Amino acid sequence: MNVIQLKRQSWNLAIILLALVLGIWRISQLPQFGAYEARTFVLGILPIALLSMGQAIIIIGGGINLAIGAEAVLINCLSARYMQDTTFTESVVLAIVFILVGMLIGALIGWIIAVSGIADIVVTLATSFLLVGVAMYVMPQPGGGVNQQFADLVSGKVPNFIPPLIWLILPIILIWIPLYRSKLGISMYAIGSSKEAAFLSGVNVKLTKIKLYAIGGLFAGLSGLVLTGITLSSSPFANISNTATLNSVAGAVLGGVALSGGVGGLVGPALAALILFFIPTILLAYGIDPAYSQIITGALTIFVVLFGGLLRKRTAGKK
Amino acid sequence: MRSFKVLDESRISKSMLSLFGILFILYIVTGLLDPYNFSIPAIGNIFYLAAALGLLAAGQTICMLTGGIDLSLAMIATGAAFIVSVKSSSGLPIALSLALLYCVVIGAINGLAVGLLGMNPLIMTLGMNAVLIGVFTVGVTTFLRGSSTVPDLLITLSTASIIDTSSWVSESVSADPRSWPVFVSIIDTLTWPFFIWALISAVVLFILIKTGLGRLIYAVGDNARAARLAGVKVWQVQTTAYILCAILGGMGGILLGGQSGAVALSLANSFLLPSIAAVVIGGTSIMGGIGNYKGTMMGTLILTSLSSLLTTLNSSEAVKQMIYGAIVLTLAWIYAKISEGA
Amino acid sequence: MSGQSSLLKIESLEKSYGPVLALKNANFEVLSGEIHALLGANGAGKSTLVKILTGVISGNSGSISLNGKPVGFSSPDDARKNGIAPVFQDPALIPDLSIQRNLALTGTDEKRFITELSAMGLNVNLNEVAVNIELPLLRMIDLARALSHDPELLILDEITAALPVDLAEKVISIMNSQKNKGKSVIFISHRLAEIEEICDRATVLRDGINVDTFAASRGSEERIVAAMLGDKNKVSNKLSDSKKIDRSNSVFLEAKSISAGKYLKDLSFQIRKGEVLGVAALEGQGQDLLFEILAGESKLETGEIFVNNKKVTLNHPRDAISMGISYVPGDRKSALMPQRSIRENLALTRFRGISKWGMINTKSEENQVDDAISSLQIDTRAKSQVKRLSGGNQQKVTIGRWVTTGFDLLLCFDPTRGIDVGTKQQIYDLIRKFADQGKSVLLFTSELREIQMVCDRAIVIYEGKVQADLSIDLCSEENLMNAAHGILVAK
Repeated sequence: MNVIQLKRQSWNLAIILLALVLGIWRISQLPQFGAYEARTFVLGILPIALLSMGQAIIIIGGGINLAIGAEAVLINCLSARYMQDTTFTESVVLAIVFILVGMLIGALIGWIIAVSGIADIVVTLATSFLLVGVAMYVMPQPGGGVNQQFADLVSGKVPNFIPPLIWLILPIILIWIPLYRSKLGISMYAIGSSKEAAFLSGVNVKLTKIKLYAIGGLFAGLSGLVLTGITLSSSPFANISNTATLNSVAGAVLGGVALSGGVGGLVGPALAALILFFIPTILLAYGIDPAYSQIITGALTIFVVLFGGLLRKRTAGKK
Repeated sequence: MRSFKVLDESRISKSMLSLFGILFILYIVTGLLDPYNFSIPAIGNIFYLAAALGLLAAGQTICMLTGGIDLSLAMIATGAAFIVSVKSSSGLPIALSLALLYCVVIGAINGLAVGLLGMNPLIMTLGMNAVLIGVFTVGVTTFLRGSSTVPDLLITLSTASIIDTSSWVSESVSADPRSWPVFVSIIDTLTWPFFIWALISAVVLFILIKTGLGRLIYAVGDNARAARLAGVKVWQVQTTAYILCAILGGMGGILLGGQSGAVALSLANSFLLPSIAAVVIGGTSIMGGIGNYKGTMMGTLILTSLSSLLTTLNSSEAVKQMIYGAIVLTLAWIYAKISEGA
Repeated sequence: MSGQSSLLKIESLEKSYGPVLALKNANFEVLSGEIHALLGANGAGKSTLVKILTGVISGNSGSISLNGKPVGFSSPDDARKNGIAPVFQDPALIPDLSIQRNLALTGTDEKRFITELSAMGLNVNLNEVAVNIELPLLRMIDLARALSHDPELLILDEITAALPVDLAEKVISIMNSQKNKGKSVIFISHRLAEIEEICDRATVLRDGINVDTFAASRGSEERIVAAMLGDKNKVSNKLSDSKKIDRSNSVFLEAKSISAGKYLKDLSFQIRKGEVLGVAALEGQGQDLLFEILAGESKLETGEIFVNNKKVTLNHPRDAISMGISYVPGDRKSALMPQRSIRENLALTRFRGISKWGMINTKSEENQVDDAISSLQIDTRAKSQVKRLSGGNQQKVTIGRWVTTGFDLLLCFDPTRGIDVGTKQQIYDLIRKFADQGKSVLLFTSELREIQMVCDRAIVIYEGKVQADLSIDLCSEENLMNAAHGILVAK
C-alpha cells in the first residue's frame, strides 16, 4: 500500500469518525432516538448529499460546477409546478422526465465548456444566472406541490426512514459503482488528473467532460426532485441556489475530493453532508443563534481544505 | 524597444476595440428603444451606476491577475458599508478608519491563507463569505447594533454632482433634464461617484502598469514558481493583492450604501457575480497572468448598459437573470474565440 | 535496403500555427523493419511532425499513407489503432491512476504488459499510482505499454534523454528486436552517438523541410550537424579558445556534508571564483535536489554551506540571490512566465524586494533589458509572449535574467537539454565568458561530452556522495561514466 492510498483511507476514516461523534452528540441531545429521528436526519441531508455527489463527480473530472445549485433549484421549481395535482403514475413519469431534463442541462453546460474552451468556473457562473432566471420564470413565487403518494415515496410516511435512505444509497450503487468501474470512470479520473496524458492515452476529453456534467446534472435533478418531495413546494431564489452550490463544494471537498481533480469518491461527500447537517442542528439545540452555524460551516470548510492541503504538501515534500 | 510596445498594444487594442463595439451596439439598441437613453443625462447615469461595480471589479481584477479570486468581496463591501453607517455616530473619520481596518484585516486573512498556507482561493473566499455572513448576522443584534443610515457626507459623495447646477436653470425647466442647456447637462453628469471611479481607476492602472508591484502581480499569476525562483516572496504579493482587493471592495460597498441610503446585509450580494463577469468580459484570464483593468472598465460599462437596457425593456426579474446570464456567457465565448485567433 | 517495402510515407505535409509555418513541404518515408532517425534543430518541425503522426494534431495539407493506403489520424487513439505507438519524453500515464487502471484506460492487455516489462528485466506493482514512480521507470512502463499493442511503427521521442545508461541500453535493444521482427521505429534523439550506433537511416529537418536523408553510420555526425545548421555558423566541438587553467583563486562556495531527501548523503565540494565546475551523475542521484538546496528552493537536513568562508542559511531563493547565487532550473517552464513579454521576464528580479514595488524606472529597465538581449543574441521576433519563443531562446531568457541581475555563482541544471546545436554552442560560450569575468558556474549536464568542452573541473555524484573530483584532463566520457556507476577512477 502506498502513501497516497493510505492517506486517502485515513481521510475517509476521519470523516466517518467525525460524522459518528457528531451523530452521537446530536442523539444525546434528543430525549429519545428512534425511527422518527433517524428519518429527520436522512431527510435533512438527502438533498445536499445528492448535490455534493454530483459536484464530486465534476470536480474529480477536473471541473467545478457553480451552477449545480441552480440546476437543482430549477428542477425543484419545475417539479413543484407540474407535479401538483397529478396522479401517482403521472408523478413518476414526470419525475423521470425532470431527471432527464437535469441531465440534459448538465450535458449542455458540459458541451458549452468543451466547445468554447472557456474555464468551467466562468461558464457555470453565467449559466447559474440563466437557470435561476428560468426557475423564477417557471415559479414566480414560492409554492407549488406534489402528489402525496409520490412525496411518501421520497420521504417515507412518518416514521418510516427507509425510503429516503434508499434514495441516498441507490444512486451510489446504481450510478457510482458502475461508473467507477467503467471506462468512463477511468477517463473521469484521467482528465481530472492530467488532461494531456488523458488525451494521449486515447481519452476523448471533450466527450468525457460532457458526460460527467450530464451525470452531475442527473444528481442535481435528483436533488431538486427530492427537495420537492420533502418540502412539497419550491423556492425560486438565487441565494438558495448559491448556498446549495457552496455547500455542494464544501461537501465534496470535506468528503476527500481534491479540488485539483483526479482524486476522491462519492461516499465521502455523502458522509460530509451528514457533518454539515449536524453542526447547525447541534448548535441550535444549545439555543445558539443559527448564524453561528454559518460561521462554523465556513470555518470548517476552510480548515478542512487547509488541513488536506498541508497534508498533501508534506507527503509531496518527502518524495 | 519600440516594437515591443507596438506588438503588445496591437493585441490589446484588438480586443478593446471589439469590447467597444459591443458597448456601442448596446448603447444604440437601448437608445432606439427609448430615445431618452441617447441624452447626456442618461449617459451620465450609466457612469453613475457603473462606479460601484467598477470599484468592486477593480479589486477582483487585481485578485484574478494573481491567479486568485475573491468570492467574499460582496460581504467585504457590505461589511465596510455597514461598519461606516453604524459607527458614524462616533464620527466619520473613526467610522472610515474602522471600515478600512476591517477591509485590510479580511483581505490579509484571505491573502495569507492563499499565499502562505496554500489554500485554494475559491474555497478560502467562499468560506470567508459564509463566515462574514454569520458574523454580520450576529453583529446586527449585538456588537453592530444601531442605525444603519449612511452619513450625509457619504450620501453626497455617492450620489451628488460635483458642481451643483440646480441654481443654473430656472425652476420651470429643471424638472425635465432633457430641456437643460447642454453644458449644464454635461456638468451635471460629472457626479462624485463617477469622479471617484475615474480617480481610483487611474490609480489602479498606474499600479498595474507602472509599478514593480504591478509587474509582480502579473508574474505571480503567470507562474508563481518562476517568481519565487527570481527571489520574489510570492505570499507578500498575494497578500497585498487581496488587501487591495478588499479595500477597493470596501470603497465600492460604501458607495453602494450611500446610493441606497441605508445598509442592509444583502447590499452588495447581487454585485459579486457581476464583479467577476466584468473582469472576464474584459479579457482577464481566470488563471491569472494576463489581462488589464482597461478591459474590466469596459466590462463594467457593458454590464451596466445591459441592465439599463433590461430596465428599459421593463423585463421581469426572471427574464433579467436569463438575459444577463446568456449575455455574459456569449461575451465570454466571443472573447475566447477572439483571443484564440490573436 | 531496396527489398524493404515502404511502411509510412509522408508527402508534402504542411502545417501552420497562425502565421507561423511549422512544416512546409515535409517528405519522409519509413521502410518496414527499419530504425529511422528523425533529426533537426529546435523549431525545425520535428515535434509537429510527430504530433501529426500520432494524431495529436492534423496537418493543413499533404498526404500520409500507411502500407500504401492514405490515412489521417483524428486522435491518438486512432493512430494507435492503426499500429502507430508513440512514447514521449514525458510519459503519457495518468499521474493519479494506478498502473492497472492506466492499462485499462488504453485497453492494454495486462499479461502482455507484464511480459514486455519483465523482458526488460523490470517489474512494477500494478496497484502503484503512477505519480509515485520515478521518471525513468515510468518511461519504461510507457514503452512496455506501447509494445503490448504490437505496433507496426514505434515512435520514440527523446526518451533516452536523461535516462540512466542501463535503461538507455535496454531501449536500444528493444529497438533492435522490433527491427528484427520486421517492425519499424522512428527514433528522435539529441544524442548523435546513439543515432550513429543504431539507426539505419536518418532524415534531417530544417525549417519545416526535409533537407537530407542518408544511411546513418559512424562518422555521419558532421553530415548531420551540417544538415541541421544549414549555412549557419559551423559549430566546432572543440573547446573555445579560453584555456582552462585551474586558477588557484579563492573558494567562493563550499558545501560541507550536505544531506537531504532520499539521495544526498554527506556530500561535500568546493567551487572557486572563476571556475566552471561540472557535475555528472546518473539520473536520480539527488543532483536536482542539490541544485535546489544551493538555490534556496529546498531545505537541507544536515550539513553546512559557506559562501566566501561565511556560513549561510538559505531559506528562500531570495537569500541565495542576495549571496550572489543564481539558479537556472532544468525545466525552463518553471523559470519563465509564458504569457509575459521577454522584457518582463528579463526584468523580473528587479522587483523582488518590497522596497522595489514602487514606480518602475523605465529608462534603466530598458537599458538593462537591451543589454541582455544583445549580449545573449536573443531572437526577439516574438517578444510579446515568451511562450512563442523557441526552446533555445527561452533558455537564453532564463540565463539572461541573471545577466541583468548580476551574480557570482550561476547554478545551471542541464541548460542544453533539448536545445539545438547552434544555441548549445552559444550557451557554452556564455558560460566560459562568465568564468573569464571571475564568476563561478556549477553545471550539471546529462550529456557527459559537454563537461570536457566547458568545465575546468568536475565532480561525480554517486549514492549521495562525491565519488570523484576530476581535473579536466581526466574528464573523459569513459572516466565520468565509470565514476557515475561507482567505479573508482585511476588518477
